[in-house]
Amino acid sequence: MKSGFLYNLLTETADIYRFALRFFKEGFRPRYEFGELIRQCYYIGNKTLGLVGITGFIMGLVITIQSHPSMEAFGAESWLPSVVSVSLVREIVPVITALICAGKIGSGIGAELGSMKVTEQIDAMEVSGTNPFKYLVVTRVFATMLMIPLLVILSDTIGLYGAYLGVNMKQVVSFHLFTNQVFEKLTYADVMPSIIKSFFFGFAIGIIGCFKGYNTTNGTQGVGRAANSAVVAATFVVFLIDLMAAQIADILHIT
Amino acid sequence: MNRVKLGAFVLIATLLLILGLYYIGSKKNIFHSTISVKASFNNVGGLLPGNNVRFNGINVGTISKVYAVADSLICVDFKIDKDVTQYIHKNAVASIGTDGLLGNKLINISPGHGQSAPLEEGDELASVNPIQMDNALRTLTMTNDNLKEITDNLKGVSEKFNADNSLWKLLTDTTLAANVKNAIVKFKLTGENTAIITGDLSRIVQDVKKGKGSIGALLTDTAFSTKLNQTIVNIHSISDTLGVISGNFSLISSRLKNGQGTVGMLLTDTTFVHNLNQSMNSIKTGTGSFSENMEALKHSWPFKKYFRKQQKANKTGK
Repeated sequence: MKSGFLYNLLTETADIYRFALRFFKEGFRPRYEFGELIRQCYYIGNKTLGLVGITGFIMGLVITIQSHPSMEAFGAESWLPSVVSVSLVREIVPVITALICAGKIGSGIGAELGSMKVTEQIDAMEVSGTNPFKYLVVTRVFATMLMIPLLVILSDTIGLYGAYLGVNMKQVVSFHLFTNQVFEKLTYADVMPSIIKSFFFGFAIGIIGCFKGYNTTNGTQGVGRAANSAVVAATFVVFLIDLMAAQIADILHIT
Repeated sequence: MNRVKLGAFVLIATLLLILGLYYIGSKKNIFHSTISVKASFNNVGGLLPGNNVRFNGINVGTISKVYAVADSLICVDFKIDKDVTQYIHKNAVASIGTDGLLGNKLINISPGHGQSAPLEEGDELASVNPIQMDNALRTLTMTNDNLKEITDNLKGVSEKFNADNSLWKLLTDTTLAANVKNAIVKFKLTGENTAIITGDLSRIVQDVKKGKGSIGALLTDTAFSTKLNQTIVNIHSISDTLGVISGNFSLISSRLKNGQGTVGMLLTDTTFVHNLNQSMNSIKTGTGSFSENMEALKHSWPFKKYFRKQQKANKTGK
């Protein structure tokens, strides 16, 4: 029983829950590590933007090109900007951005903290009087929580530009008309849930990456395993949160 | 340097979010100063808060609230951009329409007739109830059925028209038309004459009414009418007698048929017919003997010469 799948799942969930509680307990108590937070934000935000931006652009372009034939079949080509923008903003861009970040940031945090753990740097930090949890975990989780929504917004913009180019491959739509059509159909009920859920995506990616790294065992072997399982768990949790967000939005009639 | 880049990243992203939210809000008239107006309908057909309000086709506002106030009365509150309220008057009419054939519901505001003050906060607009699509379709179905019948009939008519040459001839014949024209002219003439005659007739009738002239006297004379009556009675009695006579006739003929009376016997007696036949036969034999005697006479000497002479004369005559 002690090594069964269910046992592992339950203990892992309990440990992550306790880890998250500790984050909230320590995160809002001074002293704040602003310098490290900004450094982490730079790495997570700026350094991921290129990847996320290109992905968003490609998704916008591809969704438009793929939707074109079926919209054409209904004679609803003029609805293409509205339809594509709604699906991009509501679902595709937040989820794709979160998945990219889970892969890049989640594994990075897991490997970084894991190697610090196995080389006993974390213990050394504690000895030197710095709270390692505050310095390493809180800053990283806050950085992902703050940066992923911003990445989503930027990626939305780039993705919509990709959609604009995609629409113009088959028909001629001026940029002004395109933005008019997009913002005609977009509502706060489309934008706000997607921004709010990307906060949770960021929190999940940061907390899982940190948890896996912080609890690394078995030396250098464990570092690789920590990075790997951080990506897998974060990806899975992103989809779980997406499902919950969709259902909550539906229950609250934010559609 | 990294801090500057991070600052730029955060600022750009936040700016984009704010811009996006502002654009969305401006399309929904959230940041314009608006006035609140309402209208009541029997049926709003699925109108929702957030649907557009149009004035002569341009978006001027959005619906803020849809709620029931009575069992067949739905009140709709909507906000209208303050800039356009100077063009919308109090007598404007609100109606529920759709964006395209199947698009979102919306409220159309059309200007009313005559002069009126501009719209103000809290005004209630007059409303026109929406066209019910199913009702319209039902009527259309009926119309279509009728149309089908009519076109079928028309088809039959045109087929007959095509099949039959005479109708074409009738239509294309100019002489006929001329004749018809002539006929009409004559008709007209006849009509005129008729009018004159009718006038005369009416005068005559009036005269007759007054008892003028012989017919008048005839018609107005009561003594004459009694005589006429009597005559008719006489005729009646004569016809009665005739009836009796014809009855007798019928009796006689039936008797004849049955062989009663001498004539009847004569007609129906078969023995008599047989006798008659026999007598006729005897006469036939008698004539045959007579003819033989005459032949013998031809060949006896005193008459021989005469017959030969006659034969010769016959031959030369040919």
